[in-house]
Order: sequence, then C-alpha cells, then structure tokens
Amino acid sequence: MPDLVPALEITNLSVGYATEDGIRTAVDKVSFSIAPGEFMGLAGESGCGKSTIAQSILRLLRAPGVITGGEIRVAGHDMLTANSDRVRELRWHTASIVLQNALTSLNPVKRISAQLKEVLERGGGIKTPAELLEMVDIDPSRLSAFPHELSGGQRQRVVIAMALALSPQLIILDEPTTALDVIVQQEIFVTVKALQKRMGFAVLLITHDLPLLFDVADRIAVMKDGKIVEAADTATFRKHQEHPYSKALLSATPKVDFTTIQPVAERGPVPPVLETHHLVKSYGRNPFTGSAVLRAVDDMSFRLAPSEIVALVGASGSGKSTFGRIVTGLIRPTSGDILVDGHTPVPVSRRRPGTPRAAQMVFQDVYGSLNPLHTIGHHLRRAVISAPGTDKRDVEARVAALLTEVGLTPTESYLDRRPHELSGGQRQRVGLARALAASPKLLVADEPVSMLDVSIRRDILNLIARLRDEQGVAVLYITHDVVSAGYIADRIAVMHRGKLVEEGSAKAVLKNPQHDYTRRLIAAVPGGLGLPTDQPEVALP
Amino acid sequence: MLYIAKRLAFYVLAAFVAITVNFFLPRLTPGDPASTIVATYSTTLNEESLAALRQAYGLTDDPLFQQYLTYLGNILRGDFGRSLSNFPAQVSDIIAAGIGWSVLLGLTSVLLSFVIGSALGALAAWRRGGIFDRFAPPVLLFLGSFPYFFLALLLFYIFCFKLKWFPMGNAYSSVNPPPFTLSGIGDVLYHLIAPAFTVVLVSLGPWTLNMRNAMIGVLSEDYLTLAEAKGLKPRRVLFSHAVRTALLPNITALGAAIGGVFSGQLLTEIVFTYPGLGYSLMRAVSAVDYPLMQALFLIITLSVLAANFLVDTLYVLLDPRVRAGQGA
Repeated sequence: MPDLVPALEITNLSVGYATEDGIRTAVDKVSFSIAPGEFMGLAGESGCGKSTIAQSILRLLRAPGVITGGEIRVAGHDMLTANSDRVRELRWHTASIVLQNALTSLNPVKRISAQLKEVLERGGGIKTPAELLEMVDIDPSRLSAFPHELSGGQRQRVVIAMALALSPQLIILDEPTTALDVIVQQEIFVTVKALQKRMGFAVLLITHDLPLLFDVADRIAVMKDGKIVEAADTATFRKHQEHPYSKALLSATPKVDFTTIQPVAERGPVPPVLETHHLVKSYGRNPFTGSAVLRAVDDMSFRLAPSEIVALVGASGSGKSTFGRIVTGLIRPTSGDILVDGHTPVPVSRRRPGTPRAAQMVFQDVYGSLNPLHTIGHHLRRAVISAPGTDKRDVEARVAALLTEVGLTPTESYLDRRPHELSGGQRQRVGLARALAASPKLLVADEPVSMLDVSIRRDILNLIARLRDEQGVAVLYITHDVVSAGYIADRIAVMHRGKLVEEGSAKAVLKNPQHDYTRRLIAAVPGGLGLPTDQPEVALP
Repeated sequence: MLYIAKRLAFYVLAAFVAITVNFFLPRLTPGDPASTIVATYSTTLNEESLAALRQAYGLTDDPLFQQYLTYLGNILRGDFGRSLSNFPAQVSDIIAAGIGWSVLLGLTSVLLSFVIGSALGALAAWRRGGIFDRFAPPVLLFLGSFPYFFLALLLFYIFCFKLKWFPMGNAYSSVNPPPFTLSGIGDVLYHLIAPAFTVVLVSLGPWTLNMRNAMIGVLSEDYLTLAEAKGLKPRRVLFSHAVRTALLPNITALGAAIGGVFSGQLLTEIVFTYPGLGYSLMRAVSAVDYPLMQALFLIITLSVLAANFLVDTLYVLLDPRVRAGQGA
C-alpha cells in the first residue's frame, strides 16, 4: 500500500510575505504531486516562488513568510496542521532538503562526522557516518575533516549523504549545483540518479536551468509569478511547450549557432591589445625549497587582437579570474611579461589621474560592485571624471551618452536611482557603462552574467557583442560556461589548473575539442551545445 | 601547531620590545627619576651613605647598554629592585602581595560579565524582537555609559556604607590573609562581591550587544536552516550550532578584556580599597615610587600579551579555519 501514497502532495498552496501594505502573495494556489521514486523538476526564475515552496514543505519558512492556505502532505503526513514538535519529528524522516549554497550549508566549526551523527542520533538511520560518505563516493577517512577542508562538490555530497541518512521518501534539491562547476554538477547528478535508483526516494529539483532538467527529470513544472504555468512529462515538454513563458525561458538559454560561418577577422600586422609571455602568478612560498605552493597562472602566453572577443573558459580555481585581475592591474604577476595596449598595466594603487586605462573590469557580483548608498548618476560621474582626458564641462553629456550606449533610456530616469531600485540586468548595464567611461581598449568581463536570471543573460551578452561592434572594444570574457562562450566569442581559450590547454576559433574548439579536459567540459553541459543530435538522448547511468 | 609556534614567537618578540621600551623610556627623559631622588638627599648625607643609597636604587655610572643588560638579567630573575615608598621592601614582594587579589577580582568579574553578557545576547537574538530583546540592550548601554568610578562610588555608598550589606573595603576581614578553609574562602568571596558586581554591571553592555549581533548573523546562515531542517531540537540548534559559532568574536574580545584587567579595574580597587595592583599603582604614583610604577607598567603590558596569546591558542581549538591558516 505505501507505494500508492504520493511522496509529496501539494493542494492549493498559497504563501505570502507580510509587508507594510498587507500580505504580498509569493505562491498562488499551487497544486502538484510527486509519485514515490519520481524525479520532478520545478523550473523558474528568481522571485517566482519556487524556493518558497521548498521551504514550506518542511515548514522552514521564517517571518515575514506566512502560509495563507492550502495543504501539504509529505508521504501522507499533513505538514501544515501538525504542531511544531510533530513537524520536527517528521522532518528528515519524511523529507529532507539540500540547500543551494554548498559552501555555507555545513557548520564551519564542526567536523563532518559530528554533523552526520547529529542526524543519525535521531534514530531510524540504517547506516553509519562512514557508510553514508561511502554512499556518495567520498573516502570515509574524510570523516574527521572540517567543511573548509573539502571542495564545494564534496561538501554538497556530504549534505546529500546527510539528506539520505534517515531514508526519507522525498529529497528536495534547491538549486544544489548553482555554485558549482558543470563537471562537478554532472558528477553529482550521476550520483543522485544512481542512489535514487537504488533507494527509491522521490526528488524535487528546483532550478532555473531547463536543459539540466531535460537530462535528469521525469517531469517538469514551470513556475512564473507564484503560479505553475505548465507541467508535463520531460519528453513531451521537450518537444512542445504549451505556455509562451516556457518557450521564452527555453529560448533564452544561449545556444551555439553552428549554422552560420564565422567570419575570420583580418589579423594583419595590427599590434595586439593584450599580449602576455610566460606569465606566472604564484601564491605561497615554501620557506625551505623556495618553490611556490600554488601556481594560479602557470606560464600563460596569450594574445588578444583589437575588437576581438575571446572567452577564457575554465572551472573555478583554474586561474582564469587571476589572469583577468593581472590584466586590469588589480594584482601583479610573479614573473613573465604582460602588455596591455603596448604598456605594462599600472597597479591600481599607483595609478595617477592621467594614466590611460586600457583595460577595464566588469564584475560578476552585480549586487556587491555598486555601492548601495550612491545614485547611478554618482557612480558614472565619478568614473567619467576620473577617466583621463575628460573635459570637465561635459561630464553630464558623457554620462548620458554612456547610459544610452548600454540601453538605459531615458537616461534622466536612471540618474537619481540607487542600485537597489534596479534589476540585476540593469545593474550589470550600469557596470558596463562604468567600465566604458575610461574609453578602454579592452573590457575584462569576469562572469558578467552568472548571477543574472536566464532570460536576461542573453540580452547582456548581446549588449557586450554590440559594444564590440560599435566601439571596437576588445573583450576578454571569463566564464565557466562553454555555451555562452560559444555564443558570444570569436575565439575560446581553455584554462585548466593555471595552464592554457587549448585555444582556437570558438566553434572549432566546441565542435572538435582537442584536449581531454575540454571534452569533459563540453560533455558535462546539460542539454548539450544545441548541436543537432541524431543520436538518442544520453542516458545517465 | 606551527600556527601556535608562530604566535608564540610573535608574543615573545613583543614582550621583549615592551621590556626594552620600559627600560629606556624613563632614562631618556631629562632628570631621570632615581638620580633626582638621590639628589634631594645629597646635601644631608655623606659620601658613603650616598653611595650606599645609589647602590640600593641600582644607580650606577655604567654605560647605558650595560645597565640595560643588567636590567634584562634582573627581570629574568624576577628582581625589580626596591620600592622607594616602602623602602627597603622588594618591588617583587609588593607585587606578589597584590597580584593575587587583582587576578581574583579581574578574572571573576571579566568571566562573569563574559558569561552573563553572552548568554543575554544569545537570548536576545534567539527571541529577536521579543520583550527582552527590546529592553535589555538599551538598559545595559545606559548602565555601561556611567563613568566607572561614579557607579562604584554609588554602589559603595548604598550597599557598603548605608545598607552595610557588604564590607567597606579590603579583601578579607582579619589582619592576615584568611586560611584556605571554607569560612576563609567565604570571607574572601564576601569581600569580592561588591567590587566584582560593579565591574560586571559596567562591562555587561558590549558583551551582550556583540553576542546579539554575532548571533543574528549566524542565525541567517544556511547551516542553521539546515540544522533546523534536520529536525534537531531547538535547544540543540541554539547551543550546538548558533552559540558555538557566534561566540568566536566574543572570545577574541575576551583576550583584550583579560589583558586590560589590571588597568581597567584600577578605580574600582581604589574606591573599594581592594588590595590589588591597581591600588598599589595609585599609591606608587602618589608616592613617586618609580621602581614600583615601572614594574607595574611592565606587569600590565605583559599580562595583556599573555592573555592574548592564551586566547589565540584557545581560538585554534575553537575555530578549525584558523588551523589551516585561513580565517584570522
């Protein structure tokens, strides 16, 4: 009989957030259910209410969130009417959750073993901590490790092991791999799918990444503004999307267009805008041998022509961001030569008002890179005034021109706004305008879209491409995402452990990767690169 | 372990610098204190007595560097010279008599305010926005904004003088230190209550507020959500996860607080005539007793260093991130 009870049954669930003007609805009469052993995907953009649902299931919602109506049953147990002691009993026995940020979900000052034991002490567990670790392919000798001694992927595996400790009927994965690299993401989902096959739990995977759901989910539901707009089998959904929003979400994911032939830019005797010779940046020095503990950038020789977009692709820790920071003069190399527009970059601390800024940085964190206290106008005016060779009389005109260039019009309406009044995409546009203020020859864009919602990523990438076309600025696009790299870049350079392992025209690298690491990187992309696939869907083991 | 060794080396170096400064500073000022004192006697005493006096004060005509080496050697042997105001008592004896009481009063009051303050702060954050959270911080800040000596005098007047609940001074009732028996310890504690309570009352505010703020930060962390989601009992989430982590910044502050014990409770010791180092320092200053002052300054400096080293070591045990050389 137990198999007939759905692992999760949500009926007309409404959740709101209390504000000064009453309750603002975040989840609006949502109903869905998950059969035992089913893998369901819930897709949507930030603010659509998908994480609110995840928290409501375990009754983890904190004030000002309030559940205003509906019913949630986990494996037949009513979660909403039970008192808090009962809810605590049910948590982890019936359903468990894996949170988004692998780096912060474990208590930094307690050993892994202690944090696993804590759960097992509640009773009902069938395994020891060592067996749990083994289950998720982590060496049991790591039990006495502290979280910071494990990689992000390993930490998320530990949390998954923890989530399975009391053999719940449902595990909720709330964007579990957003902070991780694609290869790590793929490995984790292979593990989850294998465990699911063996143990038979149901999964609710919450994500913004539709292609990922195509690879792993049995059924997909799409959420928008607190409502489920469409739900269907993965196979059906993949072929045909009913709701226009589902279509929009899917088409927003950049695809590599292999049909058009890439014009090969004339590379005559033009001097490159960026050129490095045997560039090395090492950290830490062994006091006895004098050898470096870590070589973040290891012997990089690299050229970037004017008006060229080159994507520097690699996993986190591959040294790609370090390279970007050397180029912009934020840090200095240990050895080797670097020329940006024919000059060695001047360290930021020694920069004088007149120094030309050939390379400018566009940051990843659109929330942290604009001081929240100042208006957009203030940010841009400062950038314009500090740029060399600015005529102090037409600062306003220059600011307006910059805003127009990045598509923030009418410009007057943005000048007096502060960063929190803008969306993530608009903020990144401001970031681009600020970088352009000094009329750089080269933009270093370090993961400029990874914190943005899927639907606006392509707009920002298109904007970067347009700026290149109109202003002739070269772009070093640093990313872990080969798909977006293939979408925007002329050339792709792949970095692995500080070394440049492959370099070539974007489409050639993607179509016909030479290095083993590049192949793994491409194979790990959920949903593939958008290449016409004649072979059947790659089934995960 | 390497981390602790590195810290130890740092503190030994710092202590050495402190001793050196402590030696040279008085000697660099024009009219060095000891010779001034000798000079006042120079008309009334004969050569022989003056020489004896010079020797007693440790005044020689040796080159400065040689004096410095002698000074270092003396300090290593625990010889700080003779007190001027209690001549011919050894400075080290005077300090030995006072240091125990200072440490007792200091540690008791600092540890009490640390424990009580952290507990109050944790409680305020755990029930954030509750009645306690709304009233405790402002009240504690109000108490903390009193000048130290004013509160001490006020409490002394009310509880010791008017109500006579507590003794009017000293650390024990009899002339000699009490025996180590139950009644003896009781007598010492009885004398300790009023001055310790004063220090606790004044210093409670920052402990509470810092703990509250650290807790609020920790409570919004993912691992706390996860701990709650795991179905742990609220008490366990509070103590094993939230307090355990939020306490770390307060422990850093504890080092500074313990180090500041001797200087911080000076006025309390004076008001309650508690026979600790602060009281000795006041007497040394008013009697222009330079050897005693110099030794006391050194003790204060060294105790700050020692306390910080202890806390650094403790931190290694409590925060594994420091062990890897990150954090910190």
